[in-house]
Amino acid sequence: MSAVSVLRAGPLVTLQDAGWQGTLALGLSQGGVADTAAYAQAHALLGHAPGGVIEMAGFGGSFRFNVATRFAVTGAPMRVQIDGVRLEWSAVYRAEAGQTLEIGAAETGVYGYLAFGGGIAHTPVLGSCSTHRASGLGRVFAVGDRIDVYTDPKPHRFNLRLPRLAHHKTALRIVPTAQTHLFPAETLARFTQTEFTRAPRGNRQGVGLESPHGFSLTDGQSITSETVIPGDIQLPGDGTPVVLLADCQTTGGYPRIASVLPCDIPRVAQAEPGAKLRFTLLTLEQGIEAERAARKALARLDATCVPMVRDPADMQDLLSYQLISGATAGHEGKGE
Amino acid sequence: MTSDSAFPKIVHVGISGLLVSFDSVMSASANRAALQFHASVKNDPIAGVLETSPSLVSVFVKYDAIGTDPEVLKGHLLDRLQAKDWYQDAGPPTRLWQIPYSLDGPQVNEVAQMLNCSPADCAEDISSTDLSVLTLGFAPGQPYLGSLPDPWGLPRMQGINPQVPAGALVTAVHQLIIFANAAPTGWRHIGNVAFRCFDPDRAEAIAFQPGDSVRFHQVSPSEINALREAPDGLGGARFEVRA
Repeated sequence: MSAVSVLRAGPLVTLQDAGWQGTLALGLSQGGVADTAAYAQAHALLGHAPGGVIEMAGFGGSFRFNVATRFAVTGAPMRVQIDGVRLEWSAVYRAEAGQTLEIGAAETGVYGYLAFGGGIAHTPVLGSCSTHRASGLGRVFAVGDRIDVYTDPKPHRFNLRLPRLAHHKTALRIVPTAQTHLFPAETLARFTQTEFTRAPRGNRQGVGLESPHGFSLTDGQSITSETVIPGDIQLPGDGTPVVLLADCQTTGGYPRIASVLPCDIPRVAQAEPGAKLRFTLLTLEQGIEAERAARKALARLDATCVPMVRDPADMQDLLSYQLISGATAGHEGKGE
Repeated sequence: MTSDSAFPKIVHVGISGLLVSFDSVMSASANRAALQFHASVKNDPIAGVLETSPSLVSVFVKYDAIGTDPEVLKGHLLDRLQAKDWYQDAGPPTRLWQIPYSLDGPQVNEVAQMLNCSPADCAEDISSTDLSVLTLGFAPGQPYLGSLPDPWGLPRMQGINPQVPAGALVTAVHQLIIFANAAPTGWRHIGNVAFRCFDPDRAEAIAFQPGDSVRFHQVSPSEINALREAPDGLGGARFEVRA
């Protein structure tokens, strides 16, 4: 019997993992989870190596557990309930057989993640189970789907949460890329002084950045197509920069003004339409140090998990808890 | 060799990439250099390189931002660049494709007009040119094929065609592309093939390699339709490896 049944799914609920490695030369971009930090958080909570997870863009769905299964929810906070009881986000729980998990719309951000203990069972293609819809790769979840999971190595690790990360208002860190040197210093300065608005159009391939005055390479130069990577900020002809994300094509012919540090890409991916974004330009050395620090922080996530503190009023199973330690022999006070 | 002594050159692509460029514009020799350099680094690895990816005239080199010093890696790449003249012809291609196509795209008359010739003349050019896979990109297994004779230096369209089907044969800038998936494009749609660039059910999910030689031969649209069912998933394409 499958561990989980899909009762309802939003329009963009897909199977993702860390994506493809070593496939750029084949025309297949890395893909994988749009928010790598949320992916790391899910597995820190679960306490095991990363595997296949459900990525929910904008809206989640309803999932029924057919067997007792652990699950973690991270990324863009969504309204989450189990059998009608509200749960906290950024936490790991254990669901019992027969319970139904409902995940609603994202309150802020774009991508929420639902991960199961043991990871979602899948057949990788070219080394990954990630979903690249245009190529027919991966899995888009829909009503009636059944989800199997691998054996859970830590079935007793649940009711833990990660402190919610403070919503960053700091500037996104960018570093030079292939065509940065073609831009005049004034253009780069203006870029880092601009408050951009995340455009309405955007998806797993990239998001547009709107601003009062556009950006372009002077003389309208175009470049011969070359490999582009997530984080690269392209300037297409219409003046609206585009930050490339996980599913971006492997090659592009537009000049790139800078590249967002890998550790800051999640914040771009999670910027919803209308969100304000600013950038700060680092040297490569500064960028490497920032990335190193971010990676260290991710490696410490396991230890950052803390037990849930639950309001007794919410604990429907209160009677099953032993609130007073110890036991009496039953005959105190008889004056012996 | 390229006429511009600034090339080959290496620039940074963020904190985890280096781009080795062999020219600023497309040319057969620069493309050869890119493909041969990519093959060299792939077959004779350089410490710290996670993967390489060739494009028309450059090679992208990916490394671990934290574990590898980019300046040291740049030095190794420069040593490899100096090992030989990468622009030099390495001899005849060893992997050869023959691919049937139909010249029934909605823009074939438009292209013929731009070339000041008949559609039959277009077919003649396509069928008689030794093309090669200049690079794979945009989608899994999607080949950029070149180069067509001079008149075919057509610009991309001003607007975008919102969708060409998988298998569409499109043209611009002396090149042809076979589209792997239905997708928008600024290139003109002149024909169709039954060959699938990417087929996970096939023994070789991605069959093309950069540098492969490709010859097209014209067949009727109904033949192309029939070839889509070819059990080997190659849509009538024939492939051979020459010693």
